[in-house]
Amino acid sequence: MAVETGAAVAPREVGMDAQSAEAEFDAFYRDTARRVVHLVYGFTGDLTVAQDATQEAYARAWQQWSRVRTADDPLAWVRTVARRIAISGWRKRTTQERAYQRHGVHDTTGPPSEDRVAVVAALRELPDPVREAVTMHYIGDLSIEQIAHDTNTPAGTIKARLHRGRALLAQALRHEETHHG
Amino acid sequence: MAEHEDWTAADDAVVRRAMATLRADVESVPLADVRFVKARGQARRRQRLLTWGAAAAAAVVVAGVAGYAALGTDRTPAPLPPQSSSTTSAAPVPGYAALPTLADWRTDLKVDATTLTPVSTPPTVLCGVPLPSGFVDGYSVGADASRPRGFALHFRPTGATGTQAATALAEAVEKCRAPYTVLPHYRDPFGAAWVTSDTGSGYVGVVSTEDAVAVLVYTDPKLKADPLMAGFGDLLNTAQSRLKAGESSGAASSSSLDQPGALPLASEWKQALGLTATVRLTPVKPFEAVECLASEPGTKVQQEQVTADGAQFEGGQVRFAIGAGQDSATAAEGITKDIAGCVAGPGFKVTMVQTNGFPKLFSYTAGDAGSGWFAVVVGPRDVGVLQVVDPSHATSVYTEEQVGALAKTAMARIKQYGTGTSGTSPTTSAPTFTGPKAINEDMPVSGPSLKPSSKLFVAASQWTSKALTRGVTVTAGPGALEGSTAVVDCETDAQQAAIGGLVGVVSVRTGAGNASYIGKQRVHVDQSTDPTTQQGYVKARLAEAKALYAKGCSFPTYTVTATPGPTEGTWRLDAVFKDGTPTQSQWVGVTAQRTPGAVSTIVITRAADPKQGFAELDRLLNLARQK
Repeated sequence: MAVETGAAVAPREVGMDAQSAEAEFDAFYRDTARRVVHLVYGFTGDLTVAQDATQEAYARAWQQWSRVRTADDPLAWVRTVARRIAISGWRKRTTQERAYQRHGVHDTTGPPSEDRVAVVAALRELPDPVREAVTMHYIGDLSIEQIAHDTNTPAGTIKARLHRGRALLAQALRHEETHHG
Repeated sequence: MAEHEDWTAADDAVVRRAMATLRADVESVPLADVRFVKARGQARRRQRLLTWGAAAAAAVVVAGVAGYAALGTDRTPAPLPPQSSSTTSAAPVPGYAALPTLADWRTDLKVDATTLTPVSTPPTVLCGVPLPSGFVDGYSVGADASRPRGFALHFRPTGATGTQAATALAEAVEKCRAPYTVLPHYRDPFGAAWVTSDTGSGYVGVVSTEDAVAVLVYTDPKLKADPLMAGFGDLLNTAQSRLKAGESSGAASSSSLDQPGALPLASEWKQALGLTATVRLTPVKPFEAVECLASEPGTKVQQEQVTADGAQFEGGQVRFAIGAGQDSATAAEGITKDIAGCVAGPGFKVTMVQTNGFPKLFSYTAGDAGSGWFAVVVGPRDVGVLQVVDPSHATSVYTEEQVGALAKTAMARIKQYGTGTSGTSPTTSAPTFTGPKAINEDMPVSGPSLKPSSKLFVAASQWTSKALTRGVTVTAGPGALEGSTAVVDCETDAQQAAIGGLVGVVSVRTGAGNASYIGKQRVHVDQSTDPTTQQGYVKARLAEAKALYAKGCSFPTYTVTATPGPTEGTWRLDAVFKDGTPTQSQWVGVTAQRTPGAVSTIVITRAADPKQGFAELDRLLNLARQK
């Protein structure tokens, strides 16, 4: 297999020098990456997976920055890619979780707080599409219309998922609060 | 869980508050350096199936090293390596067939390395744990023998596989914090690790095969503040290729063919493709459509997804039984035409590579979706299709030779163990069961997206009995606690979430309403194909149940006491309420099932005749064991 060697290089830009492209991407990353991590974290309940999915999404954005930067909403592009990567990972999560347990990866992000455990457990009870809508709305601060656009789903469906999800979540969290005082 | 129609602002506040706790988690960890993110974009292009699965890669964090001392517990950097032979040569040292050459170091790391110096006595400790036994050879590398910058060590462990030894090293490296600053996000996802330190930047990498391990280290003050690991990753690729070269590749040995299976086993996928991560075969149930097949040539009897932990690899295999009176080779030719003409998406292009006889091989490219291979194999009464997906490379890293070897194994297996062959008879004695015979019913299984087949559950109709339901017919319902896999008091979702494998729950009831549920069955299935692992998984579930149920538990308003049943693995759990509410009893039992790696938990939440609770539980467990 032919392999590339050497350091990372900036993508070739049309009408933009490499230094400007780097600076623009760096600023974009600094300004938006945490929001994406937060969104994916809410969806997967796994901060390590969220960090990796986010890094991967931005890495892909950098590879084709000349195209992504001219998109209507570059953040939406990254968000969608990160979400898809996470969804793919989420489907394999049982294997992954066992591996993480085996290798103790969670140690790198510190022990989870009781609050986080409760929230993650509550989120896990939601069906995937419902959890997706809830996290995009409450963490991503996206409107119903934006979620509908990003997920290619009718707005009415998103509205129903959101309604159902927050009700289920609130109920689960209230139950948790009741159990733990 | 019932739907809430009475949504309130208070609910909204609860949810927003909960989400804020996640935000705090996110902000408590550093954001990966943007330079690393960009480097990762480049690294993706060269990713190879190195020794680490995703988790192991995540675990191989990062230890900068200026010497073995940094790998061990001594905080004082020491010269590299600790002990070399007195022979120093300015020319490449011959040998080291399993390690990178001097040219590899210079090309991949672009360093001014002119000398390889043999290591006569290897270190014994890495980050506080012993390095593998079975040291083969090793060398230090640098501009001259007195100033080594890096080294490479080759082991053939005894008493453990190379992968096991490498995993132990990964765990050790993860904990190796001092004297360097560990930055978890500055890791190459494919086996390299990087860190900055007062003495410079360094790399540690470990690669392995089934039999061997290589440890590579390089440090250089000039690399300070340079997180790019593309070159070191290439060096690891080279190292692993060299390790692999020593292993046989090709079709399965006759000894592995002794193990039944009409399609290649996980170990055979691993060997043929040179995968070093753990390979898993996961049955696809219900069966799904096969990419590129316009029609199916017969009855689909076997379909499995192939994954390698953490590796950018996917695969699949499917087998069709051809009906009586049909010619399997003709059916296979039909599949061949389907694949040859397949356009599964934009940029999808198939090339027939091996056209004479069977197996037939096709390579394909799929634009941004990567590349891969198809293989069509044929047996006396079966046709099989294997697919190797390389999602990250425009041209597959897997060679025709490798995929051809896998296909030859598939041909051998489908002939020996396919439909109608003597090999399909069970080779191990199946357990015998007394009492009613378990039947299958199609029932809704709730749980995460990957769920066990409903065939692993006791048929709802077989819950029906005079003692349990007064003869009222039992049916399966969607479940009163949608989304939860906890089925009995003292279990929690968090506890359940920590259990790996497939999981699903079937809830049964005697009517249509939520109040008519009388019990549940939960099935856990280990996804590995290794019998030892499966047995360990089952034992762990049984031990968990014993520990969890036997001691009971307490809640603010009630206490659950446990009474062991007359049969091992059964308990009655009595919920005693503090406010005088009548005590509620549940009967819970856990058992291994006939399907390897499967464990069932059955709970009866309501029995018409409570005195028969344990007897009914035993009856249901006996049915579950047959599945």
